[in-house]
Amino acid sequence: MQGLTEALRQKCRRNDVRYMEIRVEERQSTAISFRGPKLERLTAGKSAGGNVRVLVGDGWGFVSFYDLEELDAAIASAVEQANLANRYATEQVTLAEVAPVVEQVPLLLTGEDPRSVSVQEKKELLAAYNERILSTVGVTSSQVHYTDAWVRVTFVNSEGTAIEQEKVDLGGNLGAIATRDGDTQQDFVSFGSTGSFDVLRGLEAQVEDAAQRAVTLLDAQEVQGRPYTVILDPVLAGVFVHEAFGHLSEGDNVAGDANLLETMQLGKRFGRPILNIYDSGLDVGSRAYLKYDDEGVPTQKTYLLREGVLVGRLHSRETAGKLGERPTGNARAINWRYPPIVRMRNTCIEAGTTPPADLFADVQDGIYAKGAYGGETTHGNFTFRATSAYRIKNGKLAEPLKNATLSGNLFETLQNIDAIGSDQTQCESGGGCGKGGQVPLPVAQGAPHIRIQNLLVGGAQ
Amino acid sequence: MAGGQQRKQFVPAEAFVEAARRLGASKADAYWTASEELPVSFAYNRLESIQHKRSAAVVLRVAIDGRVGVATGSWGEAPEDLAGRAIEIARSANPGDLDLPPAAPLPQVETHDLALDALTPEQLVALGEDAIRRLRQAGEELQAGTELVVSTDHVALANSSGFSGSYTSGSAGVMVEISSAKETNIFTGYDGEEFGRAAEVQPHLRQMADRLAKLAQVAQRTRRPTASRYPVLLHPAAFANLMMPFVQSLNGRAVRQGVSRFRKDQFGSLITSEKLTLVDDPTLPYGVASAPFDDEGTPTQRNPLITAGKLSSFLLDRESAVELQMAPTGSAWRGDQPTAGPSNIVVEAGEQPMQDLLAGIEKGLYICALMGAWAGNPYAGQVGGTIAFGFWVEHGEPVARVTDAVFSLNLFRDLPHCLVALSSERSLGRATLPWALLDDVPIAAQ
Repeated sequence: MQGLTEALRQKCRRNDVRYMEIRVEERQSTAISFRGPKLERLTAGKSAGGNVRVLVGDGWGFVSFYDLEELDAAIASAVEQANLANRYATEQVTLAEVAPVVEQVPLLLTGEDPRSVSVQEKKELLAAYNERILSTVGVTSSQVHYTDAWVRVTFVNSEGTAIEQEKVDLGGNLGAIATRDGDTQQDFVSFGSTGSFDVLRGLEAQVEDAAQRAVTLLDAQEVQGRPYTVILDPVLAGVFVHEAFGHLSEGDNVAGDANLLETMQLGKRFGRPILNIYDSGLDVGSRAYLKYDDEGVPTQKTYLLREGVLVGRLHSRETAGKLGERPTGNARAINWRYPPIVRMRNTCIEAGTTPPADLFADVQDGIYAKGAYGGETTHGNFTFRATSAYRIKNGKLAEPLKNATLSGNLFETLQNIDAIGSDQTQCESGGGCGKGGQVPLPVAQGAPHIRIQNLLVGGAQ
Repeated sequence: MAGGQQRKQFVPAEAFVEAARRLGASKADAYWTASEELPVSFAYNRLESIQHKRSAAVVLRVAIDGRVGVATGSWGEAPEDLAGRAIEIARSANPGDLDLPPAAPLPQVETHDLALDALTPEQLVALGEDAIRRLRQAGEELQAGTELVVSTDHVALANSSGFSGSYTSGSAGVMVEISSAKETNIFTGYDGEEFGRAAEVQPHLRQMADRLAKLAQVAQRTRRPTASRYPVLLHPAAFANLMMPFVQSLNGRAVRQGVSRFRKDQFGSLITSEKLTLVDDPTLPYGVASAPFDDEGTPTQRNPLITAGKLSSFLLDRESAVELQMAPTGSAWRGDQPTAGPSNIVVEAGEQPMQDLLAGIEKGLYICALMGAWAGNPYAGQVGGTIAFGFWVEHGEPVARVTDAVFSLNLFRDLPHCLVALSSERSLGRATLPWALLDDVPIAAQ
């Protein structure tokens, strides 16, 4: 352990609080962007800061700081706020117990360390992809973004836990833009990893496909808005499981509402027996991977649905304590400026048994939706936007469609998943999830192709 | 800010510029920001947390040997170290130069209401409790939440052309939320505004909470509309989704890139409804994003983008201005590197009160929030989203919450014939927007 960790442990030994934690983060980063042929951004970043979170009675206080010399003042301020919050507390706070951990977690790579690749080489690699995009007939511009970061987080708490963790995280998008007669369409390749820079190599064919799809979308018809049988590709199925079910499985979204908790009672059936969903923090190399969460709890694989039945949810120590369940290592903060809240990691639909081609075979009038601009949920309802879509007629792919917004009620839609492909694709993207003002948090998804009956697609009337 | 600690003296921005020059940079600018936030949040009808966030960062841009490099640093980094990192990364950059403005007269802009600094955590808790009480008028079984965030930002900018400036700005953001879960019938309604004056917080917060509580009572009843075209009243939060394609397409970088449908030879031409006047105004007194100079040091100005439907201007930073052979509009904002963007977006109000616009709907929708509308394709003008919190309106009254319906519009194509009227009241924040009455809006439904 470094001297910093020991110094922080000393600060955590107080008698006037129920619980205290200190998290200090150091970060070094690189950002490279092209917009059209122009190198628009080339930045070397460095930042450091930390925070103190304190529980007094049943009230929380949280203070972030950018100067470690202000730690004592930050602790005093957090205690003061926690005392104030405790005066207004109306509910008991119970932190689920976890065994104290003292560990130095080394950087875990699966391949090429992005720090070993020079900025010049990174720029040239991205420039080559950018040129490939711009040379596609019909493409008028591009947007290429890359970021990487090395992060070391030191976490200590008043229960004796002291953890140092290092990680590298990289991600980005290689995007093509096609413009014609006032219409602009785009598509992109997204990538991300905490394990290796290799994920950015060998993407030439994918980049060419994305550029071609952007051009094709210029001639695509606008989708007619109505319910369809919809087949989602693994990327979009991953966004679906994240938005539609993942967020409703986050303990803080259900713990405070007795009615919602009743709806989300463990043991209830939400889907057909073919449907299995889990969240995992154990997938080394994934942007969602880390050995311990931001409360010092080991990450794990947590089944949410098994054979269509609700069997688990995601927790911080507080939400687990409130519901009498076990913490799952899902308390996460995007950086030192924020407290940890319950977040997903790598959220997956398990592969089924239907060969993907067979999903299409008996669809007379449907839509095949691919890729995702993003999605959003308000618990019971969700929406997400496909980057491209195709009509399915009599079991065959037909004309391309654009502007497909998919929308539904979570509970009905889960029941309407009637076939799950036997394929499985892990999706690591350059984007992230937003919740509680903390965006973008690196997450990942894994999914096969899935088929949903009677899913509403927004569009022209 | 209340609850804060005494701020340490920062190394002046000029010191970073001087360090860069000493190490061989021909040009440099340094941009310091230090921010404090005091968020007080309530969830599930009770106080959830009181926080105090402090952050600071410095960005140094250098030009050396015909290349530009940028490095960001945090508190405590020596000017020479940051300058060294910026120069090092410049070695990998493509040929380029920095266009830095000299010192120039700056507009007088009111950016900081000192009364915001005097707001204490106790006062924010009291305001939050009042909002929760008002929201719960909708029903004891509903879950109410609110968040109040008081922010102060200090900005300092200096460059090697002689510009040196600094200012402090403050704001208070408030959000109210109410949710209900009855078996699988779940909804969340919310509203939010942001203010530059402390005196605006309480009356607006109360008004928002009362308005949302009233709608939440109606929201207990649901209705699935049939797919058709309807008159639609958009709450400012939903109307903001319709303004985003304009704001993004009128960005000078998008125009220069050719992804925008708008060109400078269209200035003075009708590009949308004559009812729409859209202004970017960083000089707005106590505006949430007001500033006397932008993040490159260009003096700010009121910048009408669309005037009565006619294209008037673009959002121009120095780079896009040069490329489009226009003058910069003081619209460069940044994380690390400056880029063109909006400050306070203002849509001019109409003449009729929002209630009159609503009263004129015989059968239609009142949409308070769209879900996922941000994920569209702004340059194509496509805005589509699930109606997250919206109402079926009969004879001018919201009578039931709409479920399973999707709003879809091509803004550039449809707004000229769809936009009927804008309200006389506006919601405040980074976007000051009225309610908007549209007609003939396609709604897809189950």
